Amino acid sequence: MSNELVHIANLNKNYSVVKALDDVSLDLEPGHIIGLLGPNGSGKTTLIKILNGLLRPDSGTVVIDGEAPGPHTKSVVSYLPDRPYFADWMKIGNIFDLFEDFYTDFDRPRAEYMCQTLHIPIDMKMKNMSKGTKEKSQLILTMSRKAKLYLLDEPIAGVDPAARDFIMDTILSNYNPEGSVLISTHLISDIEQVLDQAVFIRNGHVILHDSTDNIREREGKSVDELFREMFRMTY
Amino acid sequence: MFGKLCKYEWKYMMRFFLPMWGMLLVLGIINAFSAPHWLFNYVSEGREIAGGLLFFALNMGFCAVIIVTMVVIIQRFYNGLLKDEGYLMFTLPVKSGMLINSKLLVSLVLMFLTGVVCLAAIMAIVISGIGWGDFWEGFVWIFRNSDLSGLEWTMMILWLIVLILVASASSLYKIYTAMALGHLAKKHRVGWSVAAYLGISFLGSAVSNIFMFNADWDAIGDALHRMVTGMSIPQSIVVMELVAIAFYAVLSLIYFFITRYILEKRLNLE
Repeated sequence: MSNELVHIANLNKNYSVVKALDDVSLDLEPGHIIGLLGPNGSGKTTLIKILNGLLRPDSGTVVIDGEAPGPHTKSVVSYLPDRPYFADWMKIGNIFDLFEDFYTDFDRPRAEYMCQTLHIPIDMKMKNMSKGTKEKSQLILTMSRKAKLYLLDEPIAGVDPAARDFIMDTILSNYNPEGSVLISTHLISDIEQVLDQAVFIRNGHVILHDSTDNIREREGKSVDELFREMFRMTY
Repeated sequence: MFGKLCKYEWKYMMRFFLPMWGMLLVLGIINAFSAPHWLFNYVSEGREIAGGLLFFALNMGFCAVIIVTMVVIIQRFYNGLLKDEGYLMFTLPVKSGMLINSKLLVSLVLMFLTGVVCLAAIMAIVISGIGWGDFWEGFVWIFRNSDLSGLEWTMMILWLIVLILVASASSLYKIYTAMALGHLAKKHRVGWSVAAYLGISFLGSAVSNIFMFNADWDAIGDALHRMVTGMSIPQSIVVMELVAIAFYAVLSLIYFFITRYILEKRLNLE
């Protein structure tokens, strides 16, 4: 318990009559890259939103770095939503200023270096950026923090294979190794090789949480193959 | 953190307000040169029409500034917190109340400064018309020949400014509450926000009507009479102002707590 970065117990969340999360319990330790794997509508985004304080659960407990979601946990969680959160008038340099003011773990030189590498001018307005450049900018912001927990919601959904490689490289070469990375996706084959642990979620239930090595050894198949087998009926 | 939030809000708002204030002041200064000629002297018909048009433009400018101020303030809350930008703002390590109040404080300051700019534009015309010397003399005369320079009148004016600010805060909180309620809907959130605003207004009217019809006005009148007996006029007005300030402060608190509750516990970003 003392080594847990994230402690989730008996978590429930309903949207009207739809159960998004049903009695979810999960403990995550620091220093791991964890895949939150499930088909669309399985509750991945709801769980991530609850972890970063955007949603309140109906019941249950969430503790991150010893505290319930709030200003402290937001200061140690770096979140990549599944949509761009920039306003058109913003320049990426404006958001660097904002991150520098609010997050003590934001590494501005690293963020500027990444922008330079990708030829993203920091004084370019968001309205002049392509969708892909916006996504890259958002990833740069998320990964330029030395956070304790990275919550990446579908970072590789809807992008071409070359962009997927870039995204995974950026995550792997920039995350804080003392923290943990929780990546939600249903595209397992693209990220399986980097995962230490996998959490399978279906209809709001966590049905499996284990290390990827254990899964391969026990099942005699890859995580992707096991996922396809377990979710064949619902996927 | 609150100061930093205000700083970012201010930087955003200045993109709209600086050009708007600049435009108003330029119109005011142009009118300051032209208005005294066609208002107080005989000029050719062409110059009179041109001057009239400039004066009309200034008045349109005043109307535009009031509308744009309200639209920008409302849009800033809606887009900044209840749409995609909310993903950025609500994951900052600050409390929801700070997000709401930073927007409110900056909006109040901007409303106040917009009022000052409008007044400056009018004063430019007045001073240009009667001359700085006469204007200053008139100003001094008013203070010398009235009680306005006394402490009681000063206090009355200061409390009036506080009352205007608290009443404005209450109006803004009411708009925020309506938008927060409207965003709970799955679809047509702007429409629901307008409906929520009308609903809150209707509820307010209903409550005040119930109070008006059921209150013991004789007792209230007696109580007020006892309270202000022996007081000077400005002191009596200050008492009324304080009662009104307390009323709007309570309303503001109610709206604030409802808005904060929704944004903390029922946030519904798409």
